Amino acid sequence: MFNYFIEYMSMGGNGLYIWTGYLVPLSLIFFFVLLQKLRLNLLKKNERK
Amino acid sequence: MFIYLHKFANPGRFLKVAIPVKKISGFLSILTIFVGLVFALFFSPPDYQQKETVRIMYIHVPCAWMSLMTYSFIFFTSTFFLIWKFPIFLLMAKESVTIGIIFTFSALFSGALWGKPTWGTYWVWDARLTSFLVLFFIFLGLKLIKDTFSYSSRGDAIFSYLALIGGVNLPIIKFSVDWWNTLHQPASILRTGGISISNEMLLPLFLMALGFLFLFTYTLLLSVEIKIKEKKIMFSGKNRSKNNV
Repeated sequence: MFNYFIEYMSMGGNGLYIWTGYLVPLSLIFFFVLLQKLRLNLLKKNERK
Repeated sequence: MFIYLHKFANPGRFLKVAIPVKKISGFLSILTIFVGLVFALFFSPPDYQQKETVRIMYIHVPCAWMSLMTYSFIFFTSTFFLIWKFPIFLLMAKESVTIGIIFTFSALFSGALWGKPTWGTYWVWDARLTSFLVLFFIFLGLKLIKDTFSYSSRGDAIFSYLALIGGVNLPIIKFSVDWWNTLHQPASILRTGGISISNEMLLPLFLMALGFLFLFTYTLLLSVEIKIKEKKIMFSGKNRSKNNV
């Protein structure tokens, strides 16, 4: 099971390229959305005041 | 159409429609991207030539499509702003810029990572890659103008005209692989001979693209909502200080 997982993660020796290719764009999008959500919550608080 | 659009020139009325649409597209984006990722990383088959590296396609191609779509959106909303002078069009165009930067950077970054194992290099100055890099710089230029002239009508006009001029780059990006000899592969989906990839690969590709489209709608409406609320607070603050004087 563990060997299968390691083999899957290595993606035929190109795991670093593939996982970084997914991780960086998805984290960028995620943090942008998170930042905007926080900004909106802050504005909503100010609006109530 | 003009009368219909006129209704949404009012920010309050616009938000009444935008907020439910935002919530639905946020939910649909999470769902479609999740299913798309499962298909892309677990169920799609490896390519006979590129083997497992083909999986980068499921993030690279939707990001590239979305950056072109975002720029087309900016192009059209800027044109509508210049014709009808509705501020909501300009607001949507301006708020799309950061999203466009993220998608374009992601397409360039994932493309470079795909290039290394398949071409043996991260970057080549071929027509498709260079024209896409130009698109990234145009987005950065728009962002610079947007942030420098935040509340000036002159800045609004400069932004809209630059968006129109930058639109010239879109057909260059699309047809660069046909017009010039490039290392980048020619189109496999939007081509005259029909789709040239298998359905097993097409499904995660379309799911990811659809997910990113919902994500674009969600982030755009979220950013527009923030901007409208910011302006509302700013103007109410100004009115309060006037009353105190």
